[in-house]
Amino acid sequence: MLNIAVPTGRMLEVCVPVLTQMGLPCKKLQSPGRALVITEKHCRYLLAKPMDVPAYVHYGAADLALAGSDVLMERRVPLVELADTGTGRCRLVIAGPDSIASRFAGIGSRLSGLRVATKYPVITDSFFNSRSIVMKIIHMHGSVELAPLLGISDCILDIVQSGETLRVNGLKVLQEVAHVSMRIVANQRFTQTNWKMISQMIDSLQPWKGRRYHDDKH
Amino acid sequence: MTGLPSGFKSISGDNAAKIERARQIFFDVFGAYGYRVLLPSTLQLFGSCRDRLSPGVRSRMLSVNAPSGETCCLRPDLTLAAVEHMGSSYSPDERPLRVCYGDRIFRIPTQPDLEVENFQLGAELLGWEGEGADVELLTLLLNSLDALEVRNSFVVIGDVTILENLLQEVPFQTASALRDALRMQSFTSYREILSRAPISEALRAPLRALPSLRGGVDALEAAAGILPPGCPLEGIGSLLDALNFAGYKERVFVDLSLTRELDYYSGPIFEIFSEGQGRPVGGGGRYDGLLSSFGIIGQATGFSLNLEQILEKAPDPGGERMFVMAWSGSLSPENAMLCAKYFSDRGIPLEMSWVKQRSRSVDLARHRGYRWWTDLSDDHVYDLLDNSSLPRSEFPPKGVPHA
Repeated sequence: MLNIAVPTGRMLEVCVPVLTQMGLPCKKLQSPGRALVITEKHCRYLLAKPMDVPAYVHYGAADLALAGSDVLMERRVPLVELADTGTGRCRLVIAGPDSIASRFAGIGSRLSGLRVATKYPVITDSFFNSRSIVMKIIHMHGSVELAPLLGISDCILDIVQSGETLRVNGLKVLQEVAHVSMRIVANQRFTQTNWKMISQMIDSLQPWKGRRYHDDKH
Repeated sequence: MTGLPSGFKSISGDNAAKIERARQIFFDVFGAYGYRVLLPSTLQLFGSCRDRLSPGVRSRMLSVNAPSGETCCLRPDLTLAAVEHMGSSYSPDERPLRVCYGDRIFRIPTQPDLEVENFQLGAELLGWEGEGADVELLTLLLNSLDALEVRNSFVVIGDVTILENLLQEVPFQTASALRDALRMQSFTSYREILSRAPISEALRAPLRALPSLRGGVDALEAAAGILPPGCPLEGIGSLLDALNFAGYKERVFVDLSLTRELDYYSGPIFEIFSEGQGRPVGGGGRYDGLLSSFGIIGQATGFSLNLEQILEKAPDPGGERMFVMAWSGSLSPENAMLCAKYFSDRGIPLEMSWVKQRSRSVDLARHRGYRWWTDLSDDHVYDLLDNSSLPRSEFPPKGVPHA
């Protein structure tokens, strides 16, 4: 039995075409209902909160998983990152109101004391620390865009896809932190004993990724 | 309230018994081959550790001040502590030195773990010259995993000199980035860095293939056709042959892209896996470079196992060892201890009960999960499961394990 952890919520929709392309059965996964474990032929899917996916793989409950690169950066759990699926693309950015844009345009010291609201405290700390900027992290679990509107923070560090939510809430991208996409990860034990199976699955993604890239460009 | 700082723990009861039992089994396996137990100091000099550990481990060291004012750290690595001790305490003509240990290490945890202290079992063979030590250590490691009843364990072997050989002609920064990507096990980054690297296709092709060169003996055969001539495959090849000959073919794999978090490895390296654990339960390898940094000439190899990780999935050793509660009854303490000797002389573990009332002693025995209870002033042992009794001389009944 192949145990695969997949993120619930919006990301699950992104996962299904990838798993299909990898040759894995995922008919039931398209309408999981409230089930947290779904078995299809030789696969058992474990539906987990996106931030918990790395832990399931790390502790050996799941052999393989699909996880966003933002989650992998934030959780920093030692896993084998096998491939970038090229799907679920978005960006991790720092965004804020126009009024603080000038602080980002200047030298780093002007950012000292910045209050940053985020769901990603580890990435935020690492990003500003590597630039020697002392700031304060305000750790939130959702609707981060509210924080600058209510004066709790000066800016946010969050993922952005179309930028519509930012625009509606009067925020704009001030700095890009990283590109994000869905990655295939595995635990170390599984990669050592099932490399041929993994290679075949990853190889089956290559032409599909190529086509998608071509489609994206046009 | 545990009265302990976050990330630290005291261990008692069954868990402590399991750890002690595992340590003893491990020491017995290695002791039979001349390995002597080492009890290293908990405090190490900060500078000595910092200079010899990788940035990843260095940033996780816990610093403290010794009463003498010296900056120290809680032991972050047992190999380092072992080598330091052996280098300073033994003369060259006493080598090779064989040590084994079972002790705690202290590191600031990384996600998703929260524990600062972890128990490790390990062994080191220092200052040997010539072949044999890698085979000796790996064979004893596999023997100890069997003795510890670690289910479906296997070892993955690599060799850091293979990657270093391929990186010789690669620009310094690119080589560093490739090394880091493999250490982080990000094949996405590895492939991306490689695709941009300013190197010839003749060099790029074997580097691209490296992460796929893993599996059984066939992976090594495939490597011989892909890697350039002169790539040092002989060492890992002969190690694999020796372990196959020793009957471990099904439990030994190769991975030519294998790297370890610690920087000090300089030859064959390995990681150990067991059932139900996604991450390695241990690892080790050759570290001649570390040895020379302590002024010791020669070769060295060693490994460590995360004991608690192993015990998570290990079968229960079965029952409480101490299983008779012996009530002193009307006897004086010295007479009660004399009567209790009857059991201990026969290897039957017991716990003394000094309460005044017989019923309280029986209740306590039941509460503690003991099956057997005896009044030391009479000559019977009572079975608390069915309230039957048997003469002390017939105890323990046939088929009941007692030690």
